[in-house]
Amino acid sequence: MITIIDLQAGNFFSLENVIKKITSEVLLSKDYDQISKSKIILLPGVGRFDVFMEKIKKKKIDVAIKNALINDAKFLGICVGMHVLFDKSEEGNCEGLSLISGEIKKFNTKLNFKIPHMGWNTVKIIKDDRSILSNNNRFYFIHSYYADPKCSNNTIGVTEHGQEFASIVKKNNIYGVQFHPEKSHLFGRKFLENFLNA
Amino acid sequence: MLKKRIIPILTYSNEELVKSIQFGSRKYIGDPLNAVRIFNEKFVDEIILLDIGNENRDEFKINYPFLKKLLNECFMPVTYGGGIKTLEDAKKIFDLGVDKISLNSIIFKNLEIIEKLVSYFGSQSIVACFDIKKNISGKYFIYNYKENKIFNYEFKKYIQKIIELGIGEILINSVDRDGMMNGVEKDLLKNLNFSVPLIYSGGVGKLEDLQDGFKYKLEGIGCSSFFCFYGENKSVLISYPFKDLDRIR
Repeated sequence: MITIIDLQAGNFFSLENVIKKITSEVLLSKDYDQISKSKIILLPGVGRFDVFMEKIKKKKIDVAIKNALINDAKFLGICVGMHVLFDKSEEGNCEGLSLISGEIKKFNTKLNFKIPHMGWNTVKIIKDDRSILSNNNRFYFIHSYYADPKCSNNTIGVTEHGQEFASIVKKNNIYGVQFHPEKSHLFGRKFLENFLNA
Repeated sequence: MLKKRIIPILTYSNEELVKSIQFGSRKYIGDPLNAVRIFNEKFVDEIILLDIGNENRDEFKINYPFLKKLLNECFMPVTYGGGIKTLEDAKKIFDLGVDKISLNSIIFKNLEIIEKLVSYFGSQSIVACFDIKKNISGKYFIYNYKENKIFNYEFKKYIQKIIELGIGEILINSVDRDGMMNGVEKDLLKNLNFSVPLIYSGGVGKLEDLQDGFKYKLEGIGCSSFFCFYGENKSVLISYPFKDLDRIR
């Protein structure tokens, strides 16, 4: 059973729709117990870091996620759902989940590239993790902040927008993607299929 | 590298897809649901859905159930605009799965709402939409569609002011070129250079118009008539020639 955490701050309906095309065993939940015993968890996120973290903490979703991870669950954070995996963000004051070391930074506006990074871009795989993605891809990005993992081993895919930034991160069973697979047509669907089968 | 975007703009009223000419007369095109399905199958970059209300420009309530039906067909980014006035309106819309919201009429009445929305949802989710019209002396102004009058303020300065409130993207519609399919408004485009992404719409009638548009400092071009009509008689045909479009951006 795949659980999509529904915090009313993400494209959970879109994500649910895409997952349903792959498997029927998916449900939307913000229930602590349900999330704690899930084997596959997806956390879609849209909006501000602090607002999202507050919603997570209010429902003790942070504890539920950690419980599930202790029981070998697989996790995918999308966009802000990926940002909260880290220690902190320049976008706000809240602490993140600290599941991956590093922080979230704002794009350097002096580089003459427009912020937000908005549109279709490609991901270059730098560490092939059991074929989670092929190099022939394009995904939709919409963000002004990006993840900067402390340990380079946690970056498995990068994207270029004035500077190269981590677009896919991974630590053990935890994955994070900056792009929106649920908004990236067949590429997004393929990525999600690969993630679910990994 | 980021690709330039080519975006269908669907204007609907009472759940019917319509296409206007110079923001005036409207032609019935068909079922928005059908159009969205076709665009989804053709792998559009993203889509802009605008509920433009009735021809009398009356106030209207946001039609959430219908928007939800449209969104169920979308596996690409969606911007919605039409009647958004409050944070609550915006929350309900984002909950349905919209990626960005577009603000137009409310900008003339209440700038505080922009700050509230940016604060809550982040810059990347908030688009400011400006309808630009040329006056008799050839000068460009922001046009207030609801009140049918020109907004008397230097338009670039005003747009810059809105950008400073944290807007993530600007959508500019040329009222004069709307539905005309006679090319993009070059005199307007040549003087535009904003610090946030710019989408321009109005006048695209053929691929060459898109190529012309991409020479300017914008990140995307929105098209309505170009994707809804075919041939000299403007028969209704929803299309999105992905391969041709991908070659020119």
